[in-house]
Amino acid sequence: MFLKAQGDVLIRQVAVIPGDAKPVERDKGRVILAYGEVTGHAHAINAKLAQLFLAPAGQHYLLADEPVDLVHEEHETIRIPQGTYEILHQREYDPENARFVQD
Amino acid sequence: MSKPIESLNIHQRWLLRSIAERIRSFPLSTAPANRALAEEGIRQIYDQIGMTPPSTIMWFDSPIGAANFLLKVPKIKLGRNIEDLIPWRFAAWESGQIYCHVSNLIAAEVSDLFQTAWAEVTPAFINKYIWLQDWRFRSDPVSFEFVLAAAQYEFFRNCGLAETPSAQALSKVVWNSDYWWPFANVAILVDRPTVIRWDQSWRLHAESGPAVQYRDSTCLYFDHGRRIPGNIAERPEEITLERINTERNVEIRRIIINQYKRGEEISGAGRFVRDSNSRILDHDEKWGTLHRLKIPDDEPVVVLQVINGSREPDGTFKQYWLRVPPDMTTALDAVAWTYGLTGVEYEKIQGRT
Repeated sequence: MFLKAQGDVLIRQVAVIPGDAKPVERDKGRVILAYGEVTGHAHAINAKLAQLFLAPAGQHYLLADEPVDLVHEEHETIRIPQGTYEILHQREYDPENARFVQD
Repeated sequence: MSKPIESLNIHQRWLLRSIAERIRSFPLSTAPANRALAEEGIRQIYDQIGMTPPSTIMWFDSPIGAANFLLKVPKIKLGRNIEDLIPWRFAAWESGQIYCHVSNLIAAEVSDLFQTAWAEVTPAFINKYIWLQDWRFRSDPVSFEFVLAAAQYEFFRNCGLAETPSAQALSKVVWNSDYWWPFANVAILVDRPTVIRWDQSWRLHAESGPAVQYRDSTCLYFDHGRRIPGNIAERPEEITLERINTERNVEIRRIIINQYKRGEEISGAGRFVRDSNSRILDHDEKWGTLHRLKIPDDEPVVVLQVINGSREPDGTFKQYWLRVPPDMTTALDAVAWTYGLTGVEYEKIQGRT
């Protein structure tokens, strides 16, 4: 089962994308899995046959209808095979509330 | 009445999306309020509910100014809060006159899209609003549910479906002011801030300086949605190890630990642990190093030191110091936790770049 991380984003293969997840629009033609808040860099997919979904509880999913490349300015590219994936964002513990890491 | 609309054309779809964008930008807008239009809307609202328009419409440059006024002014001068008399509150309005013009499917689509847009930016709105409770208001500022009502009104009106004067008046106030309080004798409106900054999760946040600044120069400071005192935010250089270690108030100490070396590459709890005499709990070439630092009267700070999977242009590897829950004992469990996984799940990882 596919399980790889690119910096603060982890891609995990799942059997299905939940039915209530809704498609997320592309940003300037690219699928963005996460934006970097500080640097402005992004974890992005340029391939046409990729679609990001957002479930009501906030989890992101990726549908790749062909093998796609996940690129980022500071990390080596990851090749993702055709399939369905859950996108997990790295977080940091906070005594009061957990927060996400953004590189 | 004409037959309900069954589908939206391209123009209507474009309109729908542009109004959803307007909702998204609403709590984060720094455009000056259009005072004349908002006041016109206020007068129309009072007219429509059979009340004399307020003799005084007061503008404040910040909600703090409005709050201070509301605390001081005798209630009799304001009269009662008439918000509950405004009959077109979101729920009633939604199920009312507009929706009979469109099919249930379209109604659901419009409502869903607007509510999703609103839900996205809710953290910013809540951050902006929640601190007002510090002032122990006698009443809350109007606007929360009215934004959705105004958005739906804009959409259906621009589709040529309905021209309801009451919703139009509401819409004028909503889009042209920030907070507002309608009292029988006085309407109080607040202009928008000049600066507003937020993070990826739409929480108010600024790496340095205020996250919100109002026209009267009042500043509010937030760290990922958490309000922080101005003196701490404005002078991060005063947060030293000694300052942290001698701070007795646990709440303040947590804030200043988070603010330690703010703006530098490694900051917050990770940097604090790195710069202190912490104990190494676990070290693993593959998963990283887990550090633990005891804190008097509070939970220990446990931090995972990890090395980036990709090399920097200069050939070195960047390091990250990530705070993890205090009960973590192994670097594997800690790194797995940062992605919401267990150690057993994470150890199957096939690559990290």
